[in-house]
Amino acid sequence: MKNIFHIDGFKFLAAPVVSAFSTPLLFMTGLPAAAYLVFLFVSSSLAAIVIHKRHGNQLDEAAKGAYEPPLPEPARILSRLSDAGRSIPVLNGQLKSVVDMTDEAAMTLFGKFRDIAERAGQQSDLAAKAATGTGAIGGGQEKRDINALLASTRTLVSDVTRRMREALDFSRGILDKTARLSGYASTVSGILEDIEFISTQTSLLSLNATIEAARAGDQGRGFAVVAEEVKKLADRSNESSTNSRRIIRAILESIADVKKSLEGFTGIMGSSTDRSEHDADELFESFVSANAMLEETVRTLSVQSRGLSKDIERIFTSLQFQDITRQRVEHVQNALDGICGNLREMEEELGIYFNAFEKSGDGDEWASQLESTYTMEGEREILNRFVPEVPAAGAGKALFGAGENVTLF
Amino acid sequence: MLEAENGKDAYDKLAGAAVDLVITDLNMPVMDGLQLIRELRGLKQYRFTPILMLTTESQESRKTDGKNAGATGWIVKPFTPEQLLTTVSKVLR
Repeated sequence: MKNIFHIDGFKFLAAPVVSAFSTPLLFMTGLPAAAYLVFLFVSSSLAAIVIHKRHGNQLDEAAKGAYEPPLPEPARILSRLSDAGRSIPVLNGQLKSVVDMTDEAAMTLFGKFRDIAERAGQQSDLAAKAATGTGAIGGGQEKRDINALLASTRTLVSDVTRRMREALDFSRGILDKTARLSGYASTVSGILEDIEFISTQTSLLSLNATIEAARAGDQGRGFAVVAEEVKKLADRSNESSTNSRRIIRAILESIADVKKSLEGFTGIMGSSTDRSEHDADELFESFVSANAMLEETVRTLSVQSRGLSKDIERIFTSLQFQDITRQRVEHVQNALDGICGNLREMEEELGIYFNAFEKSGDGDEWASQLESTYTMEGEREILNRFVPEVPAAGAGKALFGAGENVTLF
Repeated sequence: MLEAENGKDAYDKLAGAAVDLVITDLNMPVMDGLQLIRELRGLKQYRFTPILMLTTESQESRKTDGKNAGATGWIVKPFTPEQLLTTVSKVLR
């Protein structure tokens, strides 16, 4: 407790207050002036003691805090210089972090574009090989052009169709021969008909001869025998002729069957050969057309691949911006370091000039203000390297780990 | 699809429309993402519309602010296209 006899503001205030309340009482009691003065002093002191006892802490604090006289100008300047000097390394740290991140991103892009260029080149080579048909075929190592392959295959197919046509012509020849055979058989059949007629007539004649021989009596007996033999010959001739005609008929039927089959075969062969030739021609035309398109596509791919390579070269050049960026940022950082050094020197000199003048006590407020503008953990980490004790507004551990950057409420 | 340059622009465009999904950044000029969400939730047509926050902010306290403002989800940059599409598919179901 302070010395109650020390004159301070409250005692000065207590005296008139007590006087104002006590004076009417004294007048009423009739005490003399000296006694009045003594009474005044004691009562005001007692009042001060009571007030101090009851509200002492609050008064002391109020004396220190709210009622703080404003700092002189140099102190504020020192504080601001100190804050600025301490913030510059943090800002430099943020700049370095950004440059490092951009470096890494640029290198990643560089690598990916290089991979793209390599793959584009490989695809272009593969397409060119496919179009020209180069490469090992079968067990050998010979190289064949697709066009030459198509031409060889076309020749092969032409040979096959030619042979089919030859077979067709051959079968048509056979057909003609069977037709002639049929004609011959018909002719023979006609001849046999004549023979049958002759035999029949001969048989009739022999019958008549037998009748006449019978009329002649004994003299006609020899004639009757001859007539009988002639009749037998006529009968045998007729029988042979009939048999031959039957056989000829069978032959003619067989020939007709063969002819029919041959006609069917040549008909089918003919239409198949025509269709095959037509289809083969169409197929080869399609192959040739497709190959031409493939060659055109490969040429286009090749051109595009070269264009892509050029574009990627330009990208490589553009990515060099990162080097330029780094250098320019480093120049800014160097300048900021220089400014920081100057600020510290000024702070020191001002401190000396004003002789141990204390800076304002709230030295990390600038850090809290800086932190309140940050939105990323990386920024806060850099700040904490320089100001570990900064009370971050709404501080809390980062919610998301790697791969946990999506949350649904 | 509507696009806006800041929160106020977004609100003005959305107030006269009725979209199925809103994707917004947090730190925007004129009106930030949290204020935008609060304003939209006050509109009848957006009371239940999915609203996703797309931001660099990863602090839990900020995420809580978003949830309290009415956000449906919180996506921290950087994100892959697949993550965004998966999240959009989930909230639109």
